Amino acid sequence: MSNADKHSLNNDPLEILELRKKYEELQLRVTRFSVIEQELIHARNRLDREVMIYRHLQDFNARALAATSDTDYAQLVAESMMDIFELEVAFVCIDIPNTGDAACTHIEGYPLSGEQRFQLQLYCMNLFTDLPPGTLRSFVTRETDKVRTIIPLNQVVTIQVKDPQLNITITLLGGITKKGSLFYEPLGKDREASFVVFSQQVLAYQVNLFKTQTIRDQYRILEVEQKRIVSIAENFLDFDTNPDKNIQKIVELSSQLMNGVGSVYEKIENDLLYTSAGFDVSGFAEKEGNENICFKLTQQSERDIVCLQITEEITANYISTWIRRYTGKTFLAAILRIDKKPIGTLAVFLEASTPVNDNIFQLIRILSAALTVEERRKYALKALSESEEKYRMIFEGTPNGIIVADPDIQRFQYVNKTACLMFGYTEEELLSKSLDDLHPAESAEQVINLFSDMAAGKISQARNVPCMNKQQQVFYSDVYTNKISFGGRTMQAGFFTDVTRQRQDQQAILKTNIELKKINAELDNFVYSVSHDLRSPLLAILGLVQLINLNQESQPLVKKYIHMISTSASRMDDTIKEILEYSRNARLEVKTGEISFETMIREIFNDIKHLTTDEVRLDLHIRQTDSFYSDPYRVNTLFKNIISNAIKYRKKGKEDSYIRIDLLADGEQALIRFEDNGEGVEPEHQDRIFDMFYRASNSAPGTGLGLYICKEILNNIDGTIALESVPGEGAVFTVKFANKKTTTHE
Amino acid sequence: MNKYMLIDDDEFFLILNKDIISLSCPEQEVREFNSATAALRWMEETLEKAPSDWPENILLDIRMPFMNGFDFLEKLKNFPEAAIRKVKVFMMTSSLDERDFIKARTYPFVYNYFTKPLTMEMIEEIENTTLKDWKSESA
Repeated sequence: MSNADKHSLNNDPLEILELRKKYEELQLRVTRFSVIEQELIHARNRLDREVMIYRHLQDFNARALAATSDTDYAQLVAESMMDIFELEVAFVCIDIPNTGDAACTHIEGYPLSGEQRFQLQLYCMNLFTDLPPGTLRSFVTRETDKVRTIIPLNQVVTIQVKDPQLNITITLLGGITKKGSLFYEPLGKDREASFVVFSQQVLAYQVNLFKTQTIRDQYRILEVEQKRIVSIAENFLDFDTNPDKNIQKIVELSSQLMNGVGSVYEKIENDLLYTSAGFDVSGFAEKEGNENICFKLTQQSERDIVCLQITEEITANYISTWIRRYTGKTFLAAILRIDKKPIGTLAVFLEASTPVNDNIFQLIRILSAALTVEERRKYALKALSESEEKYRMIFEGTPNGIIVADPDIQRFQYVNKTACLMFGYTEEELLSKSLDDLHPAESAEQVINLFSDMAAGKISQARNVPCMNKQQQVFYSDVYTNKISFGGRTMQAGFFTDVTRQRQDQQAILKTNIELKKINAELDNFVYSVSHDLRSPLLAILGLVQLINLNQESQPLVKKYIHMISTSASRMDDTIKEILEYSRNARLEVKTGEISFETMIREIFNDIKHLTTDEVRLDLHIRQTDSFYSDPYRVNTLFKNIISNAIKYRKKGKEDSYIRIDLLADGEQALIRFEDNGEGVEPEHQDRIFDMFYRASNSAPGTGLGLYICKEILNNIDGTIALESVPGEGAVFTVKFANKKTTTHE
Repeated sequence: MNKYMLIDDDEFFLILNKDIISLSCPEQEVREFNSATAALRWMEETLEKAPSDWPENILLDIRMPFMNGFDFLEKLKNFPEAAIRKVKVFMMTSSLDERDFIKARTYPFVYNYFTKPLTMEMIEEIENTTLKDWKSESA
């Protein structure tokens, strides 16, 4: 104001003109300035909006990354659209193929009925269908008519973006009524561009989300698979000692591992089926010809692993069988073999849609191998239990007491019934005992040494081992030990035989034997005395008879009687002698000495030829290749009896009575043939002639003991005697006995 | 002339044997003893007082009470060897026991073994038996 005052005071026209000019310039400047100011304000507003959009965009970006589901994401997109582009209504349609669900939609700012939503969705999906594929489908349209038939909107802006690889289509639809809205004014290139950028971003995030979800899904599948595999592995690790349980487990696993309908393990031998839980094979054994179906099916191929589709054509071959239930399924089977011989088939029934790849083949191969291992174990266990059963049966059935001990831990592992009875304990009691309990304390050291020697294999048996039962009674046992394999371990088995009775018996026998010997000696003495005492008076009679006969003055009649007395006394003497011979043969021990047959036979013959006044010829033929040993006394008695029989039973009155003796002796035996031409023996007597007191002829005095004694003697000197005879023509006695040279002189 | 000595507990045999000997060789001097102890006693006395009566043949029974024939043979061993060497002992027995026979043969002055009764043949055999030069046990 002060400057204007100064100018007015000057009042110079030139100055005034100048001033006016300046004033006008100033006014112009002010006007221009105001325009700029307007522009500046406008620009600032725009900038603010851009910043807002940018912030919203950033916000969207941040939240989009955190989105976890399609519906959450669709809601976020719709909200963000409204914020960024200042829309009143926002509709989002996300179409992801192969999800099985309808497109995911969301609307903000307007309540949509179900029908409206469907119509709108349809509209979105049919948008731009005519566009060539493979191009980036990003278009903005302001077409409103179709939308307005669904929801009443002044203006609509629509964009659809599509990912050509994943085929994800996203349609954004905005409704504008507000004047100040960005889209209210005819769209500028920049608005459209930002909408396009936004939609691209939405797509990008959706693709990202999709991929994340896919990865997550896959991860989840992997997790499930992992759990399954872990549980399978645990199942495998958790294998039982019982092969049958393991077989069942493997069958169960087969189905689980391959996601099968079920699995079955068919044993050829007895058409036995193991099935996975719930697998229906009912009626499998009802019809003939349906046995071993799995095996028959696998034989359609030459390979041990077969994969085929079960068709009606196949099941038609099997009348009414369980396999029909699985028509249309995939049959995957492996043949199990032991020593090349097929033992069964493991079959898994898969859904036809299940892809059969190398992994599955590998799997069934492994599973069938595992089954084979179990089957082998089963056979092995069976064989083992059979052999143990055999052992047990033998152990239980034996009259020996058996105790099996583990030498490492000094404990009894097994005792049989006989051992329990022997020691008087129950099985449990006996198993808990130790060596000290089973043997008397005074012989403990001896017994322990004995068993340690046995365990070391130094000795395998011991006799009369003192043992002690529960009642502390001592008994004696023979013990035989052996190493045996018991329950897969090497142990020491002791076999006990109670010999207490035997010992007692043996001692009794010894005692009896001594007594018998004494009695025998007494009896011998008795026979000796009796024979002497009996014979003495007889011999006196014979001596007196001789004296009378020497007396020439005796009368003939007296001589006759005297002769009769003599004969009678002689016979009685013969009888006594024979009884004595018999008694001595029976009781006396066999005494071996060298025998000279020639001398012996000639002496005998000379001693007894006076039995008769008739001439009897001796014809002796001896062929001896070796010195001969036997009991000379017995052989002498034997020969004497046979020769005297030949003389006594000669044919009376015959002129050339003879006895022919052929003797053949070598290192082994003597074979002697006594042949006479006497009266012989009637056939009916021949069998009994060697019996005691049996007399076949009355033509000469005798006791019936002679040949019986011969037979008894030959029993004592390992020999035999036989008779051949034709009555009236003669008899042949064949005698054979052993040469004892080797047993006495070597 | 042979001097006979008969030792037997059975009187019958003493008579019998004496008669038989007398029948076959009537000039013989025969002394009878019914026990071995009596015989021994006589022999001891004879050896001392009348060596000329020393017997040549002794017929000895085996089974006798108190002292049997083998006990007698054992006692005989105690006599001077020169005296025993002049004696021939003949066992006369009713025993058939081979063991007696074997045992008797172990004595060098036992010359033979006869089973009763005594016969003429036996006397003949005795008469024909000559003294032998046996070796003593100590030699």
